[in-house]
Amino acid sequence: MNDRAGVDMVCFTAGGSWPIMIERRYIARMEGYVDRQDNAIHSADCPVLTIEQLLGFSSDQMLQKSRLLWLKNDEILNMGLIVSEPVELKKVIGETILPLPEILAARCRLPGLQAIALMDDTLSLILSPFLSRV
Amino acid sequence: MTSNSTTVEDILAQKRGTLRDIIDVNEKTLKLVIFTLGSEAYAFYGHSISEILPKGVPIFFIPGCPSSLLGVINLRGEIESVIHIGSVLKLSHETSSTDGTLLLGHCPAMRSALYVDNVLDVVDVPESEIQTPPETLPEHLKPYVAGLVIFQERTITVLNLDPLLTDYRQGLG
Repeated sequence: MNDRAGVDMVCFTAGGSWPIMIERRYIARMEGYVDRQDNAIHSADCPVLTIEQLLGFSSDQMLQKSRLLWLKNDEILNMGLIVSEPVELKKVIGETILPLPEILAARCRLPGLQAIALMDDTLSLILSPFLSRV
Repeated sequence: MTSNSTTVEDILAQKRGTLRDIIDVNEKTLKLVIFTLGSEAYAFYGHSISEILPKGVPIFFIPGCPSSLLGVINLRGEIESVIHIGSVLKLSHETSSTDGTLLLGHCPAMRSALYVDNVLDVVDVPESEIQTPPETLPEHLKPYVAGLVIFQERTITVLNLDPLLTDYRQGLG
């Protein structure tokens, strides 16, 4: 496999500061600006969480405008994920995607943490939303 | 001829002592990387430390980790975890977590950066100088202490990195 090959990633931050990436293939669609308090978005058929809830952060960041990402697994709509703007689509080349060090993989309890992307000295957490980490 | 209080036995005894002081060049020596955690001095075997990193390497905090896992570093394009050794060993004295030094440690199964307060020296010591750890050693330290050695009138606790990393991966600290 060519290390220069790219992976489409949807990029945003969680908790106000953590750069997060999720593979584009997990995103069924993205809805425009949503109000996190709007009950209508929580009445969908599948659960809707904020990224902070998904990651187990102690408090939600009620920051600027939010987007709702509908995540799919095996083409089945599985979860709604509310994230703060800006949300960007980037092609991340393979050589910048690094496996988790063995000790981090064993001890970190961050749900879905799959790998780390290292670009221009900035570190991003790559989440696989359906990967369980217990 | 005046009497002399020195006897042949004295001379021979002195020479025997001198001979004992001569280091046996054939004796196996072990390299130790000596460092501090708080006010105490510890060492890892040199064969388990591949690098002493310069101070100031930025550590990226990763959420969801135990407090003893400080985060990760970017080491020439590779990501390494950073373990706070003082926390893992449950040392009661204060150790810093910001201005220390990172050692790159490894064992057959894995590797990690190891956060210590300061590196004092890297020395070769004869294997025979490493003493058996005392029975009074705290129970939780026993699996990781290989022995004690006196260095510059200071007692150094020699740590065995392999079981430390292995147990840490499985939940120690």
